[in-house]
Amino acid sequence: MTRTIRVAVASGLALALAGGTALARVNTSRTTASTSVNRNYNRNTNVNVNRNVNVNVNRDVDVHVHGGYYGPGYYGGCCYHPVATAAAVTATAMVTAAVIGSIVHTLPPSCTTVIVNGITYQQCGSTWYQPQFAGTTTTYIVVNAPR
Amino acid sequence: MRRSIPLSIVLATALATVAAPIRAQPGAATSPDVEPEAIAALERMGNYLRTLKSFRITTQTSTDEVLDNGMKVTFSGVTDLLAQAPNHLRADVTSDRQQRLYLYDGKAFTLFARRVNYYATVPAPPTIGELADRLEDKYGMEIPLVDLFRWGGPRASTAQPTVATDIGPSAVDGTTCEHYAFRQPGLDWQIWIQLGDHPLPRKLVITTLTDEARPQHTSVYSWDLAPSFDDGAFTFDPPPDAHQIVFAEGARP
Repeated sequence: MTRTIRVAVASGLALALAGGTALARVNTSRTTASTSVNRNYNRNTNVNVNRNVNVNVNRDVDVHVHGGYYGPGYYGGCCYHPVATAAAVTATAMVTAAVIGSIVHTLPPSCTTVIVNGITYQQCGSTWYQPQFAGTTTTYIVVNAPR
Repeated sequence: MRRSIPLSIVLATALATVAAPIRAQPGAATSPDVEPEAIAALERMGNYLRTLKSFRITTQTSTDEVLDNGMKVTFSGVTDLLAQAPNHLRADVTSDRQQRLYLYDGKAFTLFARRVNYYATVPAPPTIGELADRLEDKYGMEIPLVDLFRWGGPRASTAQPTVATDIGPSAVDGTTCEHYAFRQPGLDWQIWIQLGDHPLPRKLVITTLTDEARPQHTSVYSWDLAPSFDDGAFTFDPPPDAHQIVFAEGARP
């Protein structure tokens, strides 16, 4: 239930920070209230799979512009693209390529849905993402170009 | 005298078709903080839920998240759930952050994300209770209002309450209920159970104790015990522009 995500700041993000153009905010939240009484606390659940998230470029939100702590669609995926976020992501993408295997919660703008061999991808410039449900949350894994 | 029965056993599951054996466990609920009447109320509720062949619940939810600076923010949502024992489930969840449709027809389970237009489908076990187990174990996912399907079953919380107490009468949406409070490791929870011949849960509040901000989740239930529906309600017919994706195994984001 803890949502803190370890983030390795990409060089592009670091540059954006150095330029003072954006405020980095990497952790949306740390805990969500339990929604079920019957969560079994004693079971050995493997919860580490997606914890070592590499780079989440869309965390680079100017909180003044975007209106605070909501963040760009931590859950929803596609549909929260504040202008500040888009600008930051674009700048980042120009500097550094996304790391294969890293997982993001939102996509940069201007992606195209592409189906290759029956598998759904999002192509965003030269970077390819494969969407998946992690729990009920849509996340995107950076993958090698499928073709 | 009522038997001393742990929480995990007495809370009957609404739709658990594999009946959970009621076992007496000596030593449970012997603390003066655990009132047998409060445990018995849960038992009555669970037994009643188990008799329901089908039901529809509209639930208003409110869930806190804790920001890194310790602030709590509250998200709202509505869950519209239709269940038919033992193996049909449809849940429409609309929250500030997510729109999700859960569909289970006894053979397959589909999760559909409306905004992004993605869906994923996997083969499913033969009952709602087993489905809940499978989704949680394999995909780190809870079905909405999972407590209704877990209480009393073998997968109910293994934790016994250290506190179980009757708070007193309370009205929920104009319906007279009895208000109970429980404490178990990691969380406090309260439940409002309708008085009379239909002991339905009408409200649930869960307080997470493992974070110092103590975030809460609140659900208020509206029940329809004679819903109208057809089998199509449980089958997924993907929109033409929807794309199939996969479930990440083991993930709890």
